[in-house]
Parts: sequence; structure tokens; C-alpha cells
Amino acid sequence: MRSRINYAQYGDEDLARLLVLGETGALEEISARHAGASYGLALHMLRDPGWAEEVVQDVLLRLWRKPDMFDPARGDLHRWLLRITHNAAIDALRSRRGTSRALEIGAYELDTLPWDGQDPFEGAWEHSRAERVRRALAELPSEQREVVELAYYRGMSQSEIAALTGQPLSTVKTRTRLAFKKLRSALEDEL
Amino acid sequence: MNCEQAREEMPGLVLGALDSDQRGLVLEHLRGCEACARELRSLLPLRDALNHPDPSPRLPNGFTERLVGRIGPAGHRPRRRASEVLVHASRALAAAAVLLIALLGVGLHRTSSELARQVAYDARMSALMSRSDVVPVDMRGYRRGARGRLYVSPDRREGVLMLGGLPGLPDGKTYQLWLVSREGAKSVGTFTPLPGGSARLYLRPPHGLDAYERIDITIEPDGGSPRPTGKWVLAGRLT
Ligand SMILES: [Zn+2]
Repeated sequence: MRSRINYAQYGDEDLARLLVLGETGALEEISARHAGASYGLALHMLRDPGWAEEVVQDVLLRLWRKPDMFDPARGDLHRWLLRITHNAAIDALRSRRGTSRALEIGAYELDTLPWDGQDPFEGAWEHSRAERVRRALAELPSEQREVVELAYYRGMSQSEIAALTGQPLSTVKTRTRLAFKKLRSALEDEL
Repeated sequence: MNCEQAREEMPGLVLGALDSDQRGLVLEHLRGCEACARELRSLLPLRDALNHPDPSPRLPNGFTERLVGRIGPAGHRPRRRASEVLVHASRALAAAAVLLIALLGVGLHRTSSELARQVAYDARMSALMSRSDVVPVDMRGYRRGARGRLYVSPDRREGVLMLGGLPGLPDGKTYQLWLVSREGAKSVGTFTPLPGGSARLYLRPPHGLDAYERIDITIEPDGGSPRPTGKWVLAGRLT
């Protein structure tokens, strides 16, 4: 048995640097810290524990193989992993539906937009904020909640949602806007 | 596209739900308009909040060990957990008729009407899978790595079959799904899993799933067989 470094002493940025050196202990620590939230998101989207585990493990292995993917200047590791997990789960849903690549609607490009590095919300508030948004989502009129959930958690485009619900595209867009207004005010309702 | 139009599309953009031409127009505007780019950035915390849909997520036992097990010079994939079979009390059988099934995760080129039908099936599946009272039936795998789980609606009229770990088959072979009753095995259809070995199937037999005792998957010659001849890959008890 070789002696173990205590990786809990490191911050996320240092752990990410240790990945470059190929230290599996750093990956284990990242997994212990952050994979639970990613798994919760993937399970919510895929509704299959085995599938969700596979997707989250693939995300972590991608980070393991290419640690440069994560750039600390653009936000913290926890949120970054969740975003990558969301993208991966959307890919998984779409490929299982047999949807062709041409129909893909990446949330990816959002991340390539200029980022000023500022985030008014820091980690400690993240949970209460998420809780408020969850509650606000649950309290939305069902037709508004539906457009958000089908889009964000099921990976459907607005025109696919229109076709599915039999509503005009403009109605889908209006419902999305109304939903966003309420979710946003729940998010900003800090006190 | 002007600022007002760009702002209207922003919720769809944040949700990743714009169709690609529309998304291109919004992004083009954002690259040239700092005010709208700032507006978009102000919405990103909302997306981050949506990434926490589960208030108290927990990793499955052994997750990190399995993760580390996948690292290595040989790049080995982990062994999957063995499926378990759930056995319920026996139920009466009814006569079988034509089966309605949507085979998903099959093929890549589809017409728009096929796609629309898929989307509709997917929504029915989503609706079914989001119910808390859906009954999971694990299938027993007879091939290393093959796993399957059938989610049965409470009224037992429909179900979603999730499959994974199915190996690619040589030319001339296909997977075939069967519903088995006392009168024998009824073919539901043949299917080809996605390259990763997964497939998802929506089942709605006319007389419900209680008309059958078992669900089987076998490997058959291309085009399928009138009755099962090949090796079992997965099987699960419905009763
Ligand atoms: Zn603008």
C-alpha cells in the first residue's frame, strides 16, 4: 500500500492542475465533491440510474483526459461540470431519439461568448438560489413549466415542442418568455 | 435582427431550444451588441440554477471506484452491474393482437413525419417515465454487459424498455424483441441499437402488458424470425 495524499486539502483549481499530472486521487476528490450534483441532473434528465452514471462518468473521464477543457478563469468547476453534464445528457437523449446531428441545438455556443469573469452569485448562495428556482418552476402554470422542461431537460427545440403540443411556435415562445420572467425574479429575489 | 428581437429569443437560447437558423441570427447579433451580450450573461445564473433539479442528489454506491476503474493504460471499460429480475404474482393471460411499437435509437436518417412521430413517442415516454408510480422490471442479461429495464405504467397498458450494453452484431444478424404468452412468442420487431449499444423502445400492446408473461430479446437472422431461434440476450418476467 502506498501512502495517500490527502486531496481534501486542495481547492478545485489545484485539483484540476493535479489532473494534468495524472493523479487519480485528484479525480477521486473531484468526483466525491461534485459528481453527486451532476448525477442528480443527469438522472433527472435521463431517468435511468445506469444511463445517468455512464454519462457522468464519461464527463469526468473527458476532464481526466483533457484537463485543459476546464478554464478556472471562466467560472468554477462545480458549475462547469454541471454545464458539461447537461450538454452530455442532451446529446444522449437526442442520439437515443435518433435525431440527426443537423437538428442539434447546442447550448455550447453560449460558453464561447465573451465572459467577463464576474459572477454576482457565489457558491454559498447557489443552493438557496437553486431551491427558489425549483419552487418557482413547480409553481408555474403547467403549460409554462412544460415548455421549460421539454426544452431544458428533454432537449427539444421550440419547434419540436410546438409540433408535440399542437401549439403555434409563437405560443411556445411566449410561454417560455413568461416562464423566464418568473424564474428570473425568483432567482433575483435574494432576500 | 435588432435588439428587441434578440431579447425575445434569449430565453430560448439559454434553454438551448432555438432552431439552428434562429440561433445563428441571435448569436450574430450578440457578437456585435454588448448590451444584449450583457443581458444574456445575466441569465446564465438561471441556467446554473436549473442544473440543480434534485434538492439532495447522491452518488450511487461505488460510483468513484467504477470511475477510477475505467482509467488505465488499456482504457478498460468497467463491468456493469448484473441485472436483477423482479418476480411478481402470476396474472391471467389474454389473447394477443397486433402490437404497436415505436423503435427508437434506430437508424439516423428519418423523414420529418417520422421525426414528429418519434418526438410524440418520446413525449409519451417522458410522461410515463416522470411518473413516480411507474413499475421498473429489470431484465436478466445473458450476454456480458447487456442490461435492460422495462418501466411499466401503473395500468400496465404501456411500457418503456431501456437497453444498454448490447454488442454490435455481425452482418446478417439483428436483435429481435418478443412478447411471450402461453400461446407462444409474438414478434414485436427487430431493431439495431445505437453505436454505443443502447436503445429505447416504447411498447403499447393492444391488450396491455398483462397479456404476456415475459419479454425476450434474441439475436436472429436479418429481417427477423417468425419465432425465436437464436440466443437469448435479455429476458424479463412481466407477471
Ligand atoms: Zn442588442
